[in-house]
Amino acid sequence: MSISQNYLKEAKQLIPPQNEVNVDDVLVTLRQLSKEVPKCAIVLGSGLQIFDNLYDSESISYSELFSASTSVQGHSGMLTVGKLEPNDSAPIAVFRGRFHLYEGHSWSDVTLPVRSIAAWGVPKLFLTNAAGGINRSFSVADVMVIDAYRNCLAPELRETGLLAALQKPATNCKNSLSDEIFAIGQSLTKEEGSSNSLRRGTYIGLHGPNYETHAEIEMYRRLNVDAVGMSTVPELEAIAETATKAVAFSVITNIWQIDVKLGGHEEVLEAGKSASRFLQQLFERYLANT
Amino acid sequence: MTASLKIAKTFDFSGLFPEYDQHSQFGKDVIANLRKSANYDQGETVLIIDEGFGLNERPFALVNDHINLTGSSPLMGPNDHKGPRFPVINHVYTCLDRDGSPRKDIYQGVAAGLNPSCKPGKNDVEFMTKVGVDFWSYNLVPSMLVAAHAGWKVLALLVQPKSADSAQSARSVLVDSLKDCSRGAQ
Repeated sequence: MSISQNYLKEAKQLIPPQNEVNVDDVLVTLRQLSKEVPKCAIVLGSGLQIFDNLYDSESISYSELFSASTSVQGHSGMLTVGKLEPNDSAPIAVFRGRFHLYEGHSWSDVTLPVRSIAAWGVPKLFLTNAAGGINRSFSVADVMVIDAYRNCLAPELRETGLLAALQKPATNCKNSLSDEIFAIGQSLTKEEGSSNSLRRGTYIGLHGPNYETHAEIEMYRRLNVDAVGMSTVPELEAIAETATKAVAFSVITNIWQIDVKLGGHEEVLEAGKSASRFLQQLFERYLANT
Repeated sequence: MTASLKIAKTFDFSGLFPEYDQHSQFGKDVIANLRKSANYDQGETVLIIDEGFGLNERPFALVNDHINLTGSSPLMGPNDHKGPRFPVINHVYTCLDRDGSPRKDIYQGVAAGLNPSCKPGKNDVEFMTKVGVDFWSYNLVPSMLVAAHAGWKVLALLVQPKSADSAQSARSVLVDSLKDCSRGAQ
């Protein structure tokens, strides 16, 4: 049994799924929504709003699709399937929002969208999130390609604590797709003179929902973490078991300094607006050649 | 100008201060009690006393920050609507005297909050020291998270487990001087 399957088994024991919908149920609805399998799926995190005007688009709410809704501001909880250009052979699927463990959703619920994406046969997946910047060289609205992550969200850690997990190295999730899209992003920033920089680094997934203390941030710096957030790790773990190739991106919404007063969730949503333009350009350029 | 310290409520997990609310461990009753007695956003302070480990020879210490290593949070699940969904908790710990003066005379540091099942070994202690932990406890951090969400400031005191001498020392240096700072007292 793989590590991810172990997590899933533990998750089911600790927090039972809140709905009875499984991947097969979701697939039936997805195939009704679009006869063609999307060439790419994108999951949008807090405050990110892109691809609002797709051609031949069809939308469905998460409550209809997954029998569950997200309670977080900045997550509309809608799936839209549509084409970037009228003559495109295949659509893309844009998932606006996600389920979080801190909302009380189980690991199984949180990973249901990406497991459904994989079962649908979508070959590429872009995951996005809003994250706090730990790396002092980062700036607000920078976008970081996640090359590695630390998992502090695994259900069994609720029983054991984080001491053992934090003494292990981060999990590498870099792949050929992340290299390819990073190269495209670098070209884009040079050509467009974009104010958003594309970075690479290590992400740590924490439960929250409180923001971190200064002592916690200092610890993550000593562990060479670059960005901190409350999502994405379960999805990366789940998708790693499938044929779908995934890259995750963190939008940096603040930079942790001892004397900075945090702006809370509103600050997160504001930084997301700036990064949305950059991410849409980046994804458009990649998808134009696929 | 510093504001005076107003201790509106005290929770004792050490069992060494029977004059205050007694709790053997953090749980639903603590959450309910912290929320029930909270004056949301009034800046009042709750004194939380817990057993401290890794204090070496020191009888007690004040906590000026924490690292949550429990692997969980009592704030997970549907949000209690009186507090924010995403609390900012950076300035919740206070180390002030009753007149608002900093307590520089008392040993202070960063507490790790450990899961009740975790008994750290030598390597774990070395790791914690490396990442900035000065000592650790089991009930303070989840209690602080609930308190911060409910708008409390937190004065956190860690004492040597089951040490009446440590409790007496903490009383004489800190706790007794705060007794008449409770809600309603001038």
